[in-house]
Formats: sequence, structure tokens, C-alpha cells
Amino acid sequence: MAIPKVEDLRAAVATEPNMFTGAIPRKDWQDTFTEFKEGNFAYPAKPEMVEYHHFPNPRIWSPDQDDWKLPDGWEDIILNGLRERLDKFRSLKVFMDICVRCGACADKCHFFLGTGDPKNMPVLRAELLRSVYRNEFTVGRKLLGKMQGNRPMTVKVLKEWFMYSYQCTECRRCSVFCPYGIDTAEITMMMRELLHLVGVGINWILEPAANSNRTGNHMGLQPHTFKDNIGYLVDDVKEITGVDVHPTFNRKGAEILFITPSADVFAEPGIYTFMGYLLLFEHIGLDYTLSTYASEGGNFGLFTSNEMMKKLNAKMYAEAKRLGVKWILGGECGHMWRVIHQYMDTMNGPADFMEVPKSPITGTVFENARSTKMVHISEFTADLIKHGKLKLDPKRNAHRVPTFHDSCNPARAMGLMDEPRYILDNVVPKWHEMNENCIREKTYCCGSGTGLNTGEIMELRMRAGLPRANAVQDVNQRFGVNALATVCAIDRATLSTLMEYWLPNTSDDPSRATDVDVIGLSELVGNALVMDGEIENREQGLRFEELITTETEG
Amino acid sequence: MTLPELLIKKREYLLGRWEDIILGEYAKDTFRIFKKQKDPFANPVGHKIRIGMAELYDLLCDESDTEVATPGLEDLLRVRAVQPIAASTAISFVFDLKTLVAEQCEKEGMDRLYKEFLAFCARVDAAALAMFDIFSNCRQTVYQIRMNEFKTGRHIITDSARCSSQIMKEDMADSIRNRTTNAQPNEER
Ligand code: SF4
Ligand code: SF4
Repeated sequence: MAIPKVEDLRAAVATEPNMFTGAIPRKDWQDTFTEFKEGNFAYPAKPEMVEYHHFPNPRIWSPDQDDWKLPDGWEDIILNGLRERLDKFRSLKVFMDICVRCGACADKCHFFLGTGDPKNMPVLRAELLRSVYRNEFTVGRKLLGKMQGNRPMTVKVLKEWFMYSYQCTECRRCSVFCPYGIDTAEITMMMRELLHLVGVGINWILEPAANSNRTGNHMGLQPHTFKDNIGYLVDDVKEITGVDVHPTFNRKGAEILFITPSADVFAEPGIYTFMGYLLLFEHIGLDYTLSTYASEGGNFGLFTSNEMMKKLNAKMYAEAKRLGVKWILGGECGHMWRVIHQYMDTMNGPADFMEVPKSPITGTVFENARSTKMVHISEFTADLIKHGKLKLDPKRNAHRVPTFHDSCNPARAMGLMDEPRYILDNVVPKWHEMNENCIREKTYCCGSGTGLNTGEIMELRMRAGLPRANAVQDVNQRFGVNALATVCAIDRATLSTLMEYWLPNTSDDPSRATDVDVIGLSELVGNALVMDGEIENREQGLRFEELITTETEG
Repeated sequence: MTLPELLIKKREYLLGRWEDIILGEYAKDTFRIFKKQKDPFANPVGHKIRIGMAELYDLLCDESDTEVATPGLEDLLRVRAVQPIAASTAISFVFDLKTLVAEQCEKEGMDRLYKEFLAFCARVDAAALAMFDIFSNCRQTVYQIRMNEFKTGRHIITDSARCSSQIMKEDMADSIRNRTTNAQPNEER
């Protein structure tokens, strides 16, 4: 057998689509086809899930098969759906019309930077929808036609929408750089909504949404399991600190309802964050309760459709009303805060049955939450620190040298940037900022948001997360940063995986998977709290890790 | 001029052309951005390619250096290991340097440099093998991190929540399932 020359081999692999996606396109974008291969798409929604949500066209199908089993007349369904949404959402109409193709957004998307695929440039991503919009809904369409890049709605276009609306985490970084403020995330949301109209969606969004609908949380935890899990965390807190903490459930008449992502109750490293909350609330004697019904802060409706988002969000107010609380305190989550801050009030408000949130400890009135009645745990904690209400020993976190990852939604959708930093200043001896173009409103996404945090697209997630990992790597090398603090449940999971790939363990300790641990900010708070009645000279952190305070500094 | 001297003299030129070969795998617009943008935070792939290739070039030129796994090269291969390219493509760029160096040798007189060129090629081949090991390790890590998501319970956030869907499956009518015969990839999970 003749041995092929390397050059021949390369030619073969470069021109033929391979394992992951089709080869990176070299032709004009309109002339390239989207090739689905195992590994480059998230699995489609199971028929039960589609049916559960009363979405159309439940069936077994797979993106890598030619026939997607679309319903008859699907083109009209999509176009009518688009027409309806253009009427309903002014922003969509504006975003369709005003892009001048200046290209300022082109190289700002982490998906483009990680994949190099031009269709991941935000301007081209939007063009996938815009080209159809122009063809169907604008005046000059007949005259300019293809010259202008207009396209009819075809299967090829539909497949492109699916590929690239699920290679956008709706992080909105691009919008920060657009002179017109065009928000490509909104365009992605519309493409996903339209795809659902013909039964094209992914399982890892619809299933958690179904769980949330059914049991109140993504995990599908039933009330007793939810309660039991928190019970285990209470035991752990006791073992580590010697302190009894007293969470209550579904308690009517509590002053505050606390809602956090269910991941905090169930998965590492979120559970340590939850232990942090428990210690904090005990420390200040907060009159709060948890709900086993509103047991999920996250809202995968945001990644599905506006109706679904509204429905899943409604339980927060419903539960607050049922329990008769004065206001709601929210835990560390990303997209939950986008929903609360940008949509909740108009969708399910006004929540007049509650009071304007006022800290029972400091008396601070949270004017920013006057309407939503919901306060972020970081705002709440920062206020406590500012008023000297917490007894903190930052040296307990001396084994951590953190940097801070601004999660896309809290940073860009609610402007939460200074409070977490202020908290860090007070709970760790030292921490370091990443490069200024990668933080605050310019922060890079974890690469796995909006329901893309599923295992079957791991390579894609690692590519998309590279810009973030790269900035962490820099502070790791320059300052010995060994922890990545964040205020988002999905981040805590996805960044852990990202760190394990891009910053694998180089220490002698084989039990570690990475050089940089991902940590919820409230874990650092909890670990630094000096509690009444705690074990003298506490030796363990909330992860049962050894503390180094006693040996290093006095 | 000896080959090592030639390689030092032509370093910038050869590195530039060599880099273009890797970046040439990308689309035109991407090539332009990855090539031009020098800020490592605005262009991590371009940056890692640049640094990794420079480190590889230097160790191929330095006959006393035997350690292939430099941090920059590892990073470059880490990038390659999650790109949509075959393993052969991921590594083969190292062989392109032979062609580029041969061109230079031709200009300087291949007859005279032939032996040194052969030695250089042998170093490239050895480096390619070492690079393949690094690449395989990166692929191994990809599988490992998927496993880790399961072990820590993170998969419940990052993958299907099985507990309730299981219950739901029992609850729900079998009608849809009965309509289909072939198991699909999404069914095998
Ligand atoms: S920055 Fe705004 S106007 Fe410019 S191409 Fe991007 S979306 Fe269009
Ligand atoms: S919203 Fe984020 S992921 Fe989507 S196109 Fe913009 S930068 Fe990319």
C-alpha cells in the first residue's frame, strides 16, 4: 500500500467535512452549507419534552440526518411567526433595519474568536435572519434581490439558523461595541423562538424547562429531596464550623423569601456557595425562608420563548404572595438576574403586594429594586459589610488568590460590577483583576451559557470559552491566581470544566483537576465569617480543605 | 553560513510564512483578523498560534534543546485539539517548516547545506512525534473533563436531569414512542 504524502492527507481532511463540524468555510458565506456531525450540535429535544410543553411537531429526529421531518407548510409558519414578532417587538424591527455593517462587532464574539467561523461574527449571525427579513418584508426586495444578499426561507437557511443560534450564548458582548447598540442576543432569541414553531429545539433546554415547570427546579428535585439535600449541607456546616444553622422551608410570615438556582443545592461547587448563604443568614439572624416550589432561580424559558420565560418566572411572585413575605432575596445566578431585571416587572409585575426591599439589619432601602422587589445577594452582602455588620477574617481565605469573572448577565444586563469587587476586597487578603478588556461590561462569556452547557458539544464549549480561559491563564501566570470567583451557578459548573481543560493541574496533588478552582463569591464570604459559637481555631474551609491561616500570619 | 545561522537570520520571515500556513486553514476574513490583531486578549487563537510556533521554531533550531513540550507549544496544541480538524491536520503544520527551510537552503546552496538540512528534518520528525503525544493528552483531557462533570454532579447542570425525566417518562403516554422504531442518537443517552 502506498503511503500517502502528508500534503495529500491534509488536502483530504481539509476538503472533507470531518468529525466535528464541516470544514471551516472558505467560500462566500451564502455559498457554504452547514454540515451537522456528531459533536457539533446539541441533541434535539425528545418528543416527550416537546409534547410536554405543548410545542408543535414532537418527533424523533436528528440534525445530522437530511430530513428534519418538518411539518407541512413550515416556511409559512416561520414567516408568519416572524411577521408577528416584528409587529410585537419594536426592538426586533429596529435591529433588522439599522445595522450599517460597520464590522465593529465582528471580532468581539467569543464564538468567533474561538472557532474562527465567520458565521459566528455577530453581524453575520444576524444576517442569517436579516437576509430572510429583507427578502420578505422590505420594500426594495424585488429590485435588489440577491444583489443585496436577500434570501428566501429554505431548508438550508433553517439549518443555518439552528447551527448558529445555538452557537450564541446570548451574552451581549457584541452589543457593547455596536455603535447602534444592536443586541444580537435578541436576534438569536428570535431565531430560536421561530425554530420552536416548527419543532426544532434542543433537549438540554426543554428538559430543564419541563422539570422547572413540574417540580419547580431544573434538576427535577421534588420537595422532600430539595429539603433533604439542604439538610446534608446543614450537617456539613456543623461539622466544619461547629455552628448550627437553621434554614426554614415554605414558612408563612417570614420577612424574606430566598430564591437561588437549584444547582446550589445539588452540585459541586455550588453547594459550597449554599453553605456560605446559610452561614451568612445565621450570622445576621435573618428572618428568611426557602420555598420548595420556587426552588429554582434559573429560567430556561429565557432560552426558549418569551411565553415560557414568563410562565416559569411567575412562580417567584406567586410564592412570595402565598407566603406573605415582604421582599425577595436572590442568590448567585446569571440569567436569572437578566430575567428579573429586564423582564420580570413587565411580564409578571407589578408586585404591589410586597414592600420596597429594606435590609432588616442596616435599614438600607434598595431603591433599585423598588419595582421588582428583588435584591441580589451581592448587593445585600456588600451593604452589610459597608455598615460593619459582618465579623470577617479574610485570612481564612489566605489559601485562595482569586480573580473575578463578571458573569455576562449580572454585568451587562443589570450592571452589577462593583458590589462583588467590594465584597472580595473584604473577604480575601488579596485578589487580582484580569485584563481590562475582559472584565466588567466587556467580560467574556464562559462559552456554555443559554443551555449550551451540555456534554455532547464539549469541544465547541472549550473553543468558545478560550477567550475567558486565556485571560485567567494570564493572571495565573503573572500573580499565581488559583481561584476564579464568580456569582453565577452555570458559571460555577461550566468554568470548572473550562479551567480543567485550559489550566490543567500542574501541582503534585493528583486529586486536583485544575490549577484554578471556581468559587462562588458567597462561599468566600461564608468561609471568612467568624461565627458565634464556632470551633476554636477552625482548621477546615467549606470544602473540607485545610486552612493555612494559623501557620502563615498571626 | 551554516543552517543554524541561516535559521536565526531568517527567523522572522520564516515564522511569518509558517504562521500563514496554519492561519490559512481559516476563512479569508478570519485570517485577516487572526493575523493582524496583536492583542492576546482580543485574539487568543492567533496569539497562541504565534507564541507556540515561535517556541517550536526556536527549539527546532537549537540543537542542544531536546524538550519539545514548551508551555506555548502545549497551549497551541490544546487549541488544535478542540478545533474541528483531524488529528493529522492538527500536527502536520510542523512538516511545512521543512518545505520552507528547504527553499532557503536552495537559495544558499543545498549541496553545501544538505547534511545539516537532513539533521534538521530529523529534528522535525522527532518533534512531530512528541507533539502527537501532547495532542493525544489534550484529547484525553477532553474525555476526562466530561467524566468529571458526571462525577461532581455538575452534569446535572450541564447535562440532562435524569431523575425527573425518568419519572416523567413513566407518567407520559407511550403513544409517541410507539410511532417510532429506530433508536436515534438522542435516544441513546
Ligand atoms: S457593530 Fe452594529 S452596526 Fe456594526 S456591523 Fe455590528 S451590528 Fe451592525
Ligand atoms: S450575544 Fe454573545 S455569543 Fe451572541 S453574537 Fe453577541 S457576542 Fe456572540
